[in-house]
Amino acid sequence: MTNIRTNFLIFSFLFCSFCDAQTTKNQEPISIIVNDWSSQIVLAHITGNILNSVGYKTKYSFSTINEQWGSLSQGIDHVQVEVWEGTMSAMFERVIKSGSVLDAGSHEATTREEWWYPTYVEELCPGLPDWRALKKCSALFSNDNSSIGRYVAGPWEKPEAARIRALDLNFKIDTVKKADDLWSELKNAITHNKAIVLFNWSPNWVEAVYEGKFIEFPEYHIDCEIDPKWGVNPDFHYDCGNPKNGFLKKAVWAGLKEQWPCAFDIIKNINFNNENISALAAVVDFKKLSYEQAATQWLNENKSIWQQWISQNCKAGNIP
Amino acid sequence: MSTNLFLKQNSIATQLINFVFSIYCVIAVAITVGQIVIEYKHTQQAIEDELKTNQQIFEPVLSAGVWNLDKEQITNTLNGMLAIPIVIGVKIEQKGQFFTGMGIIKSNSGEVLKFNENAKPIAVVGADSTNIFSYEFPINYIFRGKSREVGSATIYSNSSVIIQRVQFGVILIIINAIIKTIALWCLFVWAGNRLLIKPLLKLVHAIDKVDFDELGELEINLDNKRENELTIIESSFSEMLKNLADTRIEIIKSHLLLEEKVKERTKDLLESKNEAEQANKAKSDFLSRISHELNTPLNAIVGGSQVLQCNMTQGDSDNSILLKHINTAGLHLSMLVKDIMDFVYSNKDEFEVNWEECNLNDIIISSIVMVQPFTQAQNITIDYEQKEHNVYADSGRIRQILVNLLNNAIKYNKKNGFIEVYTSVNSEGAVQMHIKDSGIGIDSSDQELIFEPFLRLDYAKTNCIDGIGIGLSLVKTLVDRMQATVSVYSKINIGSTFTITFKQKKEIQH
Repeated sequence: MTNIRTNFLIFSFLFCSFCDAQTTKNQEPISIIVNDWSSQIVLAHITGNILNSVGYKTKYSFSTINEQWGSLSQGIDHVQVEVWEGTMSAMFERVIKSGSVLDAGSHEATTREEWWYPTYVEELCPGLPDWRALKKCSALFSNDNSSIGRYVAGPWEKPEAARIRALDLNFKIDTVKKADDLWSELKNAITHNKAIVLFNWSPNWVEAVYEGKFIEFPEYHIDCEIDPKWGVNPDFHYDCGNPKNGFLKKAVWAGLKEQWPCAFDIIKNINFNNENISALAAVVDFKKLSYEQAATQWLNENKSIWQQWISQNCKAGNIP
Repeated sequence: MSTNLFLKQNSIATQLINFVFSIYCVIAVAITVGQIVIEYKHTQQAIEDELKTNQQIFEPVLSAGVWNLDKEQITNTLNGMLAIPIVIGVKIEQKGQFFTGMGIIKSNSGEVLKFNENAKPIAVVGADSTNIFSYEFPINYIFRGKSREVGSATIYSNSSVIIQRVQFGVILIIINAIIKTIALWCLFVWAGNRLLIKPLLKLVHAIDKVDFDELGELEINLDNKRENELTIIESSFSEMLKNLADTRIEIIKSHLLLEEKVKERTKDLLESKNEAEQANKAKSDFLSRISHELNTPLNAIVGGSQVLQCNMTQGDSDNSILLKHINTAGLHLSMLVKDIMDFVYSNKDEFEVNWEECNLNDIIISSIVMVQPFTQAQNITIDYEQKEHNVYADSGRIRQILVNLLNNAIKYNKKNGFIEVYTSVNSEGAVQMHIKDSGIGIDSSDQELIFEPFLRLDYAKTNCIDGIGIGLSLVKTLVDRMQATVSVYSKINIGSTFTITFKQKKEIQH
């Protein structure tokens, strides 16, 4: 009798130690990166909620798009749900190549970041969306009655100055401090029916609310960035636009696949199209819901979609 | 080589200067090497400090590059770091693994690698590894307010950088050492020359020129203004020369006086010698003449007395006894005269030895027969075991020697004593003749004197033993003439043994 009891205790001890180890491993929160634009933040919360639903703990960690690759590589943060080709492809490819970050698949949505204008500006500046029209009516975009047009740039680092120089545009750059300032500028211009050209991207809520178009610069080619002879100006780089139909990917820390295998599977399955993302961004930026509310709303309304992203093995209570 | 040059090169002062300067050179070289080593170490430390300073300058840029895995940014930064003259290479590591590098670096396995400006490896440099030294610092990136180590950077430098930097300082040190050494050498030579070499040379020249015939005129002047050991030597030497000169005069005087005395003594000795030689000659002539003169009447007396004895009848017994005494006394006197004549003759230059092969046995037998009348009178027995030995000598002189020795053995023997004559051959092959008696013996102190002429021992005088003291002297002279030797072994009251050792024929010098 005593022997049986002793054996039971030893077995329990060993088994529970193993359980504890597993539990401890999975009880660590998965750190999801949030940036400073609405669609990314809402998608991050949707992802977090889905992961929570299967039993994972999550947390949201703010990072700039420049610093996020280091934190992903180091395993400080674990998930990035929006990797835009236009702004992040170079660094994304670099960390993927290093092996410290994994490509967790692409969204259905395609992306574009470019100079953008409301449709009514075409009437003020005929020839748009061709970039050459900007040369003729730069004064139209001036905010100081000069002949030098004004381009409202986002708070992200872009080679806009190089492009203006290479394409010989008579424009100056006016950089805002945060994304919301862009939409204030846009709203103000629309209100006064003034010409404006500003940084915009797709998918974004703006396209769901305002009608507008991207400027069509010369088609992007990788040589445009590395060979000055390429393009309309043989003396400078960046005599081209940004890539059209860029990818929108998800990236995870390389260790996530081993540490939280179900989370990796779920993130790989998460998929949004342009329409979804624009709508989510509009709910926040236009309807002024909070990020959490927007996420909860979408999760409630699209259960059938996101539950498909969770495989049978990873349903609540089954996660390893 | 002139004397001056030889003295200069080999003088004590030169040796002293060379010795001291050699030691100084060794010490100077050691100190200079020490200074160079310290300079090198100091510069190395300074370079290491400079490398540390680079941490503060480049760490922020590097940390951003490493954080973002931005090799382009890191490469640009490394290029900037390599522009610093002391930096020959930089290595960036992440989690202990090589990330990127530029210039000359060391791998974790100790291999020295070379990377180009694009951080591409271009060569493996094995030989320079020992000269490389490095400074490693962690790369920290501040993310969300927290400093995180994202990697490490190692900056490399090598000894050629140090050498480049210290070479000017080292050249200055060496020039400084050379100038000091040359200046010190000149000072040594100048001071040594002035204080030691010149005064010593003067002293040596003065000593070298010392003329013992003209000591009084010698004067040394070292021109030393200060009192020192040399001036003391100078004055002492001058004083010594003065004393030497005085002593020399005294010696010369004594010498002259001594010569006079020697001359006088020599003259006296020559005169004495001449007188002695003349006296000796007169003595010899006298002895020769007197012997000759005595011998003729003695022959008549002995002969006459023998004739008369033969003609005596039994009635003339009284006269017969008288004649016998006359005859015996005559014979004794005749023998004395003969001994004197032999002694005189043997000492003359014209004495000649009749060399021949002599049968000792015959000589001994005939000699024993000759002395039998005397042995019978004293009841002394002569033992002789006959042996055939021949010697190369003068048989007549051997017999004369043996008779003399036998006569002495009889005279100094005890009544009923014995005499033993025997011959032998010693270990060297020389024939020896021995005459042993049971007489009174000779004191050891007298054994040296017995061969001196006319010497008679006290015993002979007190016991009225007749003789004039020339027997053994004659024996010695004859033995010498025959290039033989005579020796005596004697013990008081036990007896004496005289041994004649003859040379072999081949050893005789004519």
